[in-house]
Amino acid sequence: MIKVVTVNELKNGFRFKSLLIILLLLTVCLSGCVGLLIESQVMEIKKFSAASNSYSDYPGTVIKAHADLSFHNQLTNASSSVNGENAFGFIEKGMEKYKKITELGERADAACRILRSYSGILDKLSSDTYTTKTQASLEKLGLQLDHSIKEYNEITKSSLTSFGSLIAATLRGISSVYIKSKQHKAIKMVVTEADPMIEEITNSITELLETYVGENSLEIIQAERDDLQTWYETVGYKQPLSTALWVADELEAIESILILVEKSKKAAIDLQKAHKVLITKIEKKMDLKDTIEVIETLVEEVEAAKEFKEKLDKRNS
Amino acid sequence: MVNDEIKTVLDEIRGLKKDVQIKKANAKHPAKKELEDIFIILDDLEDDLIFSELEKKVENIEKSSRKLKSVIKKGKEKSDEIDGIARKIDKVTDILDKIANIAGKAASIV
Repeated sequence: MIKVVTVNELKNGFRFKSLLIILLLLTVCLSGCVGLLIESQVMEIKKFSAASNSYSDYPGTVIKAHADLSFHNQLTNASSSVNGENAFGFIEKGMEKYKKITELGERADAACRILRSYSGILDKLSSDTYTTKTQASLEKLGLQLDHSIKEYNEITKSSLTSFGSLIAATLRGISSVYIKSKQHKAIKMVVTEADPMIEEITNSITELLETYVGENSLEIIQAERDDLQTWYETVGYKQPLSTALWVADELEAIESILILVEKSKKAAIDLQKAHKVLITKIEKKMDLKDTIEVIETLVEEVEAAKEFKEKLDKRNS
Repeated sequence: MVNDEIKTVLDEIRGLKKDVQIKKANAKHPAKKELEDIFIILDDLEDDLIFSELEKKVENIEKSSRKLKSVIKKGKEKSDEIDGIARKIDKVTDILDKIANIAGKAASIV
């Protein structure tokens, strides 16, 4: 009885919001955390994650486009070969080359897909599923408590104020802050440890792309274009109009590949930079703006808890 | 950065290939056939050099990808850990829920 009165007094005497802020701050201190996962960090993570997710396809696409180009050039050689045997040899070689290069593209794709897994784990660690999970059961608890008090009041003709929703909302706030501090710690660990590897993988991708296009490259795409041009200028031009149209298509495709390589190279560098920004954002000591944001996060939690309480109150009434 | 020697060799091969292609277009048999055979050899050489370079680069990506995999594994473990905390909160809530239920019933009996 004494306990119930105390809770009633608390509910009536103190402002609900103040009580929650004290409890949440206490939780932050007790959990020994150095920070909470704040909204701007989640935003940065989401931005990085979306970028790296879509990026992972580019290097493989370049290699596959190279395979196509190379195969087509072998077909042009076959079409102007001196005899059937050599012509057939060109086709076979083209197919074999296509297979080998495509396989290489698939290997590059598979290796680059790690960036998707990485963004996936960042998404998971920054998601609010951990906190929403507990919300439903706490909501149930609040209802159960209030129901029990209501039952007790009816039977004993007492007039105890329901405090189930208050307990549920408080627990929600505390658990949410605790989980967010754990999320922050985990993300900080993952992002910090992954940074040199992200640098390494993006450098390796850039090196691969630089093999294709650039000042010090092997000029693979340009060489395929030169082969096509020489073939057309020496023998291809004698072919019907459809060949000219096909060559025009090939030249357009080559332009697209060159642009894709340049854009992929730039994107790999940007990805590396974005990860550096992310790590700074997660790691850096908080300035006033960030401190305000942390407080805002706390306030948001408090507000969310309040909303949650009101929702429960509404359901109880 | 690609190997300068490979680049130099490739440039030479490509120059020769172009010459052979032009000469072949204007040549008559049997020179035409011989030029095509030379072209095939040069083309194979060019392919081998390019392929070995590309393979090296892809292997480097694979190597760095394997390293990143270990961090992802750690991240998954952390995620499971947080999931475990959320589950524990659920469990405690469930217990509290049952206690509240029992307390309510007990109160009504008393």
